[in-house]
Amino acid sequence: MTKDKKTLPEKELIESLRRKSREGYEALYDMYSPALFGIIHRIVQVEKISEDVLQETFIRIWNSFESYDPGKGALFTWLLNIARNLAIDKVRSKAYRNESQNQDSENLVNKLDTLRNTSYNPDLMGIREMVEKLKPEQKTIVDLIYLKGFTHMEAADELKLPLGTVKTRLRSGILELRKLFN
Amino acid sequence: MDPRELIESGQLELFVLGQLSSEERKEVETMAQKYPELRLEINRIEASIKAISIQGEKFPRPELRERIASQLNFIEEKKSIEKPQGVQGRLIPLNIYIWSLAACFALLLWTSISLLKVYKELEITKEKYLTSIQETKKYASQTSYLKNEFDRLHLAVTDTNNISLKLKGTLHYPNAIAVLYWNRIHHSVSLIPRSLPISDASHSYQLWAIVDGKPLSEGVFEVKGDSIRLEPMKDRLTAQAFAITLEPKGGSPNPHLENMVVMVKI
Repeated sequence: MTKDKKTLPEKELIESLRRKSREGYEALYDMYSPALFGIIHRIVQVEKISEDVLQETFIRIWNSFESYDPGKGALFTWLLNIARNLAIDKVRSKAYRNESQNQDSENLVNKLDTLRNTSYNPDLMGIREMVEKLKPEQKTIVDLIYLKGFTHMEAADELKLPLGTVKTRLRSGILELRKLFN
Repeated sequence: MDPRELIESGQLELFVLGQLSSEERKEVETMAQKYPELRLEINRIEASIKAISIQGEKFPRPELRERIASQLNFIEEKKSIEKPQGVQGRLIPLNIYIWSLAACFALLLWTSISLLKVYKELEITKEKYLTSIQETKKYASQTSYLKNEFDRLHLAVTDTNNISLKLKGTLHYPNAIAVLYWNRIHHSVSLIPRSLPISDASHSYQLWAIVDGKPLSEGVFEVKGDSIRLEPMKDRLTAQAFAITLEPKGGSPNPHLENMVVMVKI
């Protein structure tokens, strides 16, 4: 997989995606499919369904790429939000509920520990380990919103916290994570 | 809203995570256009989210790459495979172009040199041709002259009205001979100075007719090597003898008898 991995500078990647070239797809897939699959898998949790969502994500990216405006944000942000939204939509669908009988929305936070799958990129510190380093109130918010795909309103509901508090904790949590990289 | 306040509120994180309503989004976008520090903070959050996401990478099964590709419509198919060939493809015509250009120059050079050679040869040939024409003209004129001479000689020899007189060399010129044709009807006199010595630049030969003991000049002539020719002389009705003397250039009123070369008595 990694031996013929394609990469392109972001500007060229965007241009080749606009041209709908195979080269553009291959570079996009090789550069970002592991990150997007990681996001999807954390939300969906079921391997086979996660693969379907990854496929849906690439089809959506492919067919709506003209709506991406580089002036309004980074490419990865746009890709990430498509993947997250499709994953969340999947989790909330009836089909998903039928397929994953063990799924219990009340138990989402607890289930995070079971996600320490060995197929996650072993070279990296691992997002779980990083999130573990956050203060508990930051960790919960980041878990729900970033990792689980809760909206900030759902998170506020879940944690019985004011919306403003959820937002500032999310911010401080992301700032903290940013420090861990630097 | 104050930009600092907006940054602190955590609204920008939600903006990046796509969790704002379209109204809230527009508000952040408008503010970001107005305040560069907001744009900067959004960029930072985006970079953080990307970095966090990469920390959470999970590799899908390898076959998914092609499975997903089969669901997409490519406008530029196989671009990735064609690219290296394309580079090579551009190089090959370039090489051909360079070689073609070199070949053209070589051909041009060769053609120029060849043309120059041909031109020089043509010049030489032209010169030779002109010389040949001149020579032909010269020969033609000589031939014409000789034919004319021959005709006259032939006429003189074959005319039955002509008397042929052989003038013989004197004591000083024992080998000198001249032949004279004298026409009985027209009284014309002509001479072939057959083997007279070549006359130098300061002397001329002069033919005399001896009439009643007196020498009368028949005319002056030169001998320049081409002695087979007919010299027309003055007509003479009667004469007892003919003689040729060597005189100063242009001839003399009276002959210098001591310089007599040939003579004939009739």
